[in-house]
Amino acid sequence: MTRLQTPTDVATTIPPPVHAPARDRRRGRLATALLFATVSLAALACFAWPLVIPASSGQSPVVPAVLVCLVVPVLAVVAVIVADRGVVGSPNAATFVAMLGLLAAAGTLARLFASAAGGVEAIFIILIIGGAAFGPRFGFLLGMVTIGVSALAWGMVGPWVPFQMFATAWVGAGAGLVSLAIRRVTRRATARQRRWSEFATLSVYGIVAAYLYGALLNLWFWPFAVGGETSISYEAGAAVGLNLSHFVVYTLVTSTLTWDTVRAATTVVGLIVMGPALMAGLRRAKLGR
Amino acid sequence: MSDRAAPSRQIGRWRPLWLSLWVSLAFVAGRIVFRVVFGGAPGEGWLLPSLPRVDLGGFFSSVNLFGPVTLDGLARTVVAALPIAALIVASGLLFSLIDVRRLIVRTRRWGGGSASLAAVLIALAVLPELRLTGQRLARARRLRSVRHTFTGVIAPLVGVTVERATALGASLESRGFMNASVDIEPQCAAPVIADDVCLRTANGRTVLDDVTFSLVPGTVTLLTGDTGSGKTTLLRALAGLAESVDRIDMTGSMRVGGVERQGRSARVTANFVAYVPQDVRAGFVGVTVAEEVGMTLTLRGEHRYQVDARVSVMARDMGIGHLLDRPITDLSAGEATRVSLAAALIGLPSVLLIDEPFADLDDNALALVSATLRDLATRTGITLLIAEHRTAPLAGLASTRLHISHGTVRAVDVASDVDISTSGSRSPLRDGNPDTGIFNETFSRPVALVGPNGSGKTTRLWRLALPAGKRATGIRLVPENPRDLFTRESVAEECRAQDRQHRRRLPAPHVGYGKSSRDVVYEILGDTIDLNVHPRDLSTGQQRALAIALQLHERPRTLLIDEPTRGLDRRACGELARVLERISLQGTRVIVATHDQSFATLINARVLTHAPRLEAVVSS
Repeated sequence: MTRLQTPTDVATTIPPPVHAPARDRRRGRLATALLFATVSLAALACFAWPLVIPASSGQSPVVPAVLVCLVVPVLAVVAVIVADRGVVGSPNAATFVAMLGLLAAAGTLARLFASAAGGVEAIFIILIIGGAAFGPRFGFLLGMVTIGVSALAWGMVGPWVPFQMFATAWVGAGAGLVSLAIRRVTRRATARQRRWSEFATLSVYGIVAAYLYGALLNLWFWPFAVGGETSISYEAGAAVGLNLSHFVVYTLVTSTLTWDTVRAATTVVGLIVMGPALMAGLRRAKLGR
Repeated sequence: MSDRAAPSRQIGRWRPLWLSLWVSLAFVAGRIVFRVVFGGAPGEGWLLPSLPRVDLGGFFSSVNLFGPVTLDGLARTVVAALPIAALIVASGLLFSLIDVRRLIVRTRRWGGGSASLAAVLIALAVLPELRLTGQRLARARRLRSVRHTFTGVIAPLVGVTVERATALGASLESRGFMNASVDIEPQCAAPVIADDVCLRTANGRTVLDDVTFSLVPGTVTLLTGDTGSGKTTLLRALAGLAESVDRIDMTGSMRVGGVERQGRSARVTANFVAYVPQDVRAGFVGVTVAEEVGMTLTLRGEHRYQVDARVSVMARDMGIGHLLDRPITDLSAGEATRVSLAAALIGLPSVLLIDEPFADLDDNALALVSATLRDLATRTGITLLIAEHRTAPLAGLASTRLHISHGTVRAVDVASDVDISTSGSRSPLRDGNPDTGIFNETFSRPVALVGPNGSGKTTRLWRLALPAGKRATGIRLVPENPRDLFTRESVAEECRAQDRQHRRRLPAPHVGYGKSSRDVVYEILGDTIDLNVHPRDLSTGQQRALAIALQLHERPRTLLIDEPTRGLDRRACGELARVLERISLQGTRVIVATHDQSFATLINARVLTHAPRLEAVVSS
């Protein structure tokens, strides 16, 4: 894309069609990545507030929790704006947006069937393949939009939605990053080897992501889910190790051994069975990464 | 956007509240369970049956299980859980009272200029459609006798999704989505000037070369050429979609309204160039007709009252006023074409590009649409470029005609009937030799089932092919949208899957008529077809021919074809007619449902005007 000339007669009124020079683009991308990393770290800290905030003993956990519930939606909006920035200027913005909308709708339907089928989360397959096919930015926004749309469509709105949005978005973005990395590593391999290594890596990533996702979503709500009087409760002001041991028991019992395992299995089986077809289909869309 | 245009609520108003009540109940129950399991619920009052306490060791030394359970302890647990439960219910109540969806839809610029909000709107709009698509594909799956792998279920879904996304993206792009609100003043004296333009696909195939022409303002120009000759590519290049959406490489100079097209996508010129695609339905963005018609104005950020007013005026002009409240999925072909014309015209373009407006219209709808175009051309000063091979309805209207042949565009006389039937160099169908042919049974004439759009022809065919939901023996259907039948990633794989199925069913010596699917495909499509190409990347005519070849493989007694001429030019129709003739000669009875009388004549068919007595014909 090096067509820089604009016709003189209309040049004054028309925005230049070409993209910014490579150096500026790289700088812009770096700035976006840094901004994005900062927002994500802040959000991660909010997820982990029971382990991060050294609450003075005796203080109830409600204050930091309410604070976190107010901060995370704001962070989500900021993250979406940051991720949006690069889309609006790109030449295929409309196709990007349309693809985002359609895959989010597909994910919403998948979530509906998931709730009927007891944790068989097909949404992870769409997220991981979408992120791998169209890049981390797409994966991130796909996670955000899918959760947003399904919350709106099925009426499950509550304080947990921004947390779910972030966790899901990270899964999609991570898939994009993993795919970029593995494609860079296997640059010299044959097409067949590249495809195999990509799917193998994505499958492993799917397992890790499924468990981390469950643990993350447990972490911020755990103090409220169990209440203050049990032996696995959050103890404000206690050592991190103690709270961590309580949390580990909680997450093992409630989700790691059950929901998360079902989710991990579904994701891996789904990726193996329909991943290649999904990926081949999606890459037919002429949407650059 | 108006209240009328806002998507209808698919869920009850109080659903968030009800759901939050259930969630909070589950929350309180969860608290009780945790309390009992991890340390028990000690206190005064009644002691309930309880398990002895167990202590864990090591890292988990502070965790203990079970213990005494009392009614009082449980009551305190419930009370402690109430504030959070109340918060959950409160959020449910809040979202029951405010309709977030309507809030988003009402943002002044569609999606507020944000990619993600726009994506949310698109997702909400396509949600019901996606479900219908799933059902349609599930039905189409039953038409083929191939064993259905999981991949075979997923692939068409992904294909449909990707195609819809691309069409939707193009539709948004050409209406100025995400334009940085810069209005260009077009040079009306030179609506289109193309100078030595060359268009190449991303993999280097030249579609059109040496394209040089210009259009006179305020005139109607016809664009003709064979199916697949590049009419659509040229229109999309003019609209600004070829480079940005289709990844077509463009060299040379192409100016629309004085604006150099190269490197500028459609949104830059959206205020004076409008494009109506061939498959108008795939590009629909709105949920209702009113929303769709007003979308260009909404994307420009105009106030919704103004949008409403102009939508109703435009609708009255186009004779679609009675459709405004209809869901966009609920339109006949003719209605859909007029709606998309209205949606293109509402932005007051000075250049209007229309791709095959008559492709799937019956005579009634065709008369209406061509009257609309005629009115448009005489009443306004729009420069019209219409790609169409059914030129008769536009006779006397067009002053110029561009014809595409041999990969380039030349101006020809409007009246001349440029030898469409002989021009072009694409592979003709191989002439089948009846002696070595597929079948050798008695000759029977094809049957053409003729009737206007929406008279129930399709329903009838489906009922014949899938009586009681199961594939009828000896009857195969090629549906209106043959792409729905394709489940593999290349033509070769498609053939292999079909053969494998066949071999499983019959012992080796009897395999079909001794031919592989690949040979049948060669026989019908000509042997220049690239077997490695994705079935969905074939041209419309080739797709239908491939579907016919696949459905013929098991040698059915009867082959049903729904709307076989859709998207085909006269030459391709001729080829198809020869294929059908050969099939009939070889003993398969062919029944086509079509609104195209001339095609029925072409294949020398026994014409049946659609009547509810057809079963008798088939069984006789």
